[in-house]
Amino acid sequence: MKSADPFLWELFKEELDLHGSELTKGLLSFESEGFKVIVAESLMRAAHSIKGAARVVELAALAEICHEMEAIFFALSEHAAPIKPDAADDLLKVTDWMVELSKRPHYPNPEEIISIDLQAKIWRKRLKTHLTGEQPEIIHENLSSSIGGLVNEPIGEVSPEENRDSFIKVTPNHLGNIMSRSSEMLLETHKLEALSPSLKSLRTLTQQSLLSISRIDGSSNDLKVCTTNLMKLVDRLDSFIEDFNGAVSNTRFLAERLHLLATQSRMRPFSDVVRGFPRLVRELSKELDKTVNLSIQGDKTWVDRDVLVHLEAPINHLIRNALDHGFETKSERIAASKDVMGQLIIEARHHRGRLLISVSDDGRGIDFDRLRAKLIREGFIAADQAPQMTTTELSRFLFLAGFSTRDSVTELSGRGYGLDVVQDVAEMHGGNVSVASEAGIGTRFELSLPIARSVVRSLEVSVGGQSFAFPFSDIVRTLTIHSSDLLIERGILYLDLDNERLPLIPAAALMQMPIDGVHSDVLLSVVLIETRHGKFAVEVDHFNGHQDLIVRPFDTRLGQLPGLSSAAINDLGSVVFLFDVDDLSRSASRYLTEHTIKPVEELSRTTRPIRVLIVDDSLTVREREKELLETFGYEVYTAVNGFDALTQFTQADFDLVVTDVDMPCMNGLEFVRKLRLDKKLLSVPVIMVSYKDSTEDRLKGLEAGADFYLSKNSLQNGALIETILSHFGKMNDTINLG
Amino acid sequence: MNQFSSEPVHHRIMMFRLGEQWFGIPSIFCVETLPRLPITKVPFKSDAFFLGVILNHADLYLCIEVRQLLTGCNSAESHPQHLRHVFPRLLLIKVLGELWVFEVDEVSGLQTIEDLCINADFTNENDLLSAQFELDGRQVFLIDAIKLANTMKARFNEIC
Repeated sequence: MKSADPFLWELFKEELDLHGSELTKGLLSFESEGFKVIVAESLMRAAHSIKGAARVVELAALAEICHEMEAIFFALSEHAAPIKPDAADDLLKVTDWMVELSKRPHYPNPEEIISIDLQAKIWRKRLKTHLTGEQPEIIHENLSSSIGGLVNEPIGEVSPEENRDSFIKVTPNHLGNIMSRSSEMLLETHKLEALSPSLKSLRTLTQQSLLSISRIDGSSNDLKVCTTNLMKLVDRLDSFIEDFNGAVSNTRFLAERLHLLATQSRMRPFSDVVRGFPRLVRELSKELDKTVNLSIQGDKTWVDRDVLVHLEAPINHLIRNALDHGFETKSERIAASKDVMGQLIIEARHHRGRLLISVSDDGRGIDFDRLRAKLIREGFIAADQAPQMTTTELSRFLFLAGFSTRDSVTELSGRGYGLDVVQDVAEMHGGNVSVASEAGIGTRFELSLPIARSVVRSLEVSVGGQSFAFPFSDIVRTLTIHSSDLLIERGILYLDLDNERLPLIPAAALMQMPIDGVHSDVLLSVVLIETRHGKFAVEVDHFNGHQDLIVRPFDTRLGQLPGLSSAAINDLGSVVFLFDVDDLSRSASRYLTEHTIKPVEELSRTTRPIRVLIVDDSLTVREREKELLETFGYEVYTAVNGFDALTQFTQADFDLVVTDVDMPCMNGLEFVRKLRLDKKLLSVPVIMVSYKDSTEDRLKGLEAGADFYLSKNSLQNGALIETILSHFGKMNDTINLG
Repeated sequence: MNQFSSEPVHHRIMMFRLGEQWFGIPSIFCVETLPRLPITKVPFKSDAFFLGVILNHADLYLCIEVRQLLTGCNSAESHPQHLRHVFPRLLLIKVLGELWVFEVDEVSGLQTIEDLCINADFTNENDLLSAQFELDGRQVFLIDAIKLANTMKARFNEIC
């Protein structure tokens, strides 16, 4: 049977996806922009196309539904009458149902055909009522589409402006090969360019030989022939060099064009990811009884396909967030003298080498006072610290896994799992997310991502005789300083810049390469980087200039390479390692801690007892441990969970932490990990004490950064105090302070 | 011999030399022979076994040192100054879906060897060598490519 032909089925699926998308977009536009005859006519054509395709694959039931849809759109265009909401709903639902059908990998089997026919009959009957004006029957649940049925599949390589009938399928592998060959061609072209100086020197040599010969006295025939030949050689070399340079220049132009086209083939328009969002906003608005208008700006902005694939989930969440948390109800908006219709804007644009995607609303904004109060109430921050925290600092808590500003959980949001995913996706692609908000005005979330993963504009540097590169977008500043301008403090070199003291860390040390050491009276090449781990000055051997590097992912067998994100190829066809600046700064932070001379080795002016922080949600355990340690002369403080403990660290220094694992708000593993992210706290010893005593639990604890892992029995059997004493020596020892 | 006919079975073998020893690897595992290319050391990972990465056709390949594995000698020992010339080449192989590149002293090219000429009963301390044959007066050891790949993988995992 012709209809069972897999190729035809694939074509039908693409056709349905394409026209289904058009139907959805057109129907939604009736609601947002009002009825337009021209749109109704295009929807009629779309329905007609699906009808034809359905007939080819012998899905008569589908063809009949499309026939009804055609009739509806025809009637609408004839009478120029706006579409009724329930009719639009049904048309959208039946479109979703048809598109869901098209997601099947194979043509339906006979049993499935029977089921489709039955469902199609019900849909036809329902659609007919919109023509006749009868009351439609209630559609059974299994026939109605859900938000989960939204179509978000890319429709292929064609943009809306291109001829939809002329497109071909290309596998990602094939595209990758084209990309590789175009990169190779570019490299070979650069090598050709490098030959040009050699040709010029050949010409110079020939010219010099000619001059030398011309100075020889003599009129022999051989001499004349030699002179003539050399003159011809010079002329031909001139001509050849000119032709060669011309050809190389053209080849370079073509190779760069080809490479650009190959790179662009990886890029997709932002519209690919947002197609389903108008529908999402419509459905959510109805569900929440809010009126929201969605505006998408920059839908033609190019996005790397690797990034695009992961954008849908975070933007989806930001939209749900805006609709659930952000927008006020209709009555609230009226009371606030706002337009009843809320405005939700999704924008994509390129800015300074980055892709910026923002989701902004004109809703109620973030109530930072309420946020502050919630953070204090839940023990995330201390009450006296809260007033000093800026809105930016407070906003960071929004991205914590498990944290929510809502007091109750709705179906849409409120569980506190979502914004952390947004942040994870951004960071996974070398980007970040920020939020700006004003109470009563609105909120704006912005994702900042690299434009292309395949080509990165970078500053190439030499470190230990090897080539590395910093992505341009990650560099704060580059500078050349004199070694005499450096300061040394506790074994670390610092430079004073704009009233800021920055640690200077050799990149060679971070890459575990041999370091020459700092010589006096030399100029140093320095790159300033800044991440959440801090601001650092990274010393390199020298700058090699800016490059557009062709990125090559690491072989997965290599595993994780600290401080490096990938390999790349430069203009000369050499391998360059691209720094992962976030990971590099984490290494820098660790380096500082390991190489900073501890204060206990310096002269002390004051002393204090050894200060211990006990972290446990159980009052009994806290008091028991406190009592035990105070008996041995330690100064003991307590915290109820990881957050409380981190807050305590902002108020005092601790020499030892004894922490439980299972705690609410922030467990011991997460607490220790966060502790270790702070460069000042890297060296604080941590003992984990837990009822969970398996090898796996112990490994988890040690991997998180704990120095010791003991069972809760250690309180009774003396192992805890023994461990503490063995680390700190005699009971009466005190800490020397600098 | 083919059990269904009297025609002899032939094997296509890529032959190469490391030091004084000749080796062969079934051609099915060979992807390409390459000129000597710069090897870029990989920070944190490169050592005596994993030399680094090479760039070929705009792709990166892992380059490893197989000399010790196959001959029991390291590079310096197998190249005393009085020995014959070295014509270094790189051999790119693909075994069990993974690509590996290693340097050899000479590539003789693809040779067709009759099955009967291959001695699979020979004994050798090195279990990476599965058989042996003679060609043009040279003794050639046939490499068990699967075992070699597994050994390389295990060594590599130790590094990474």
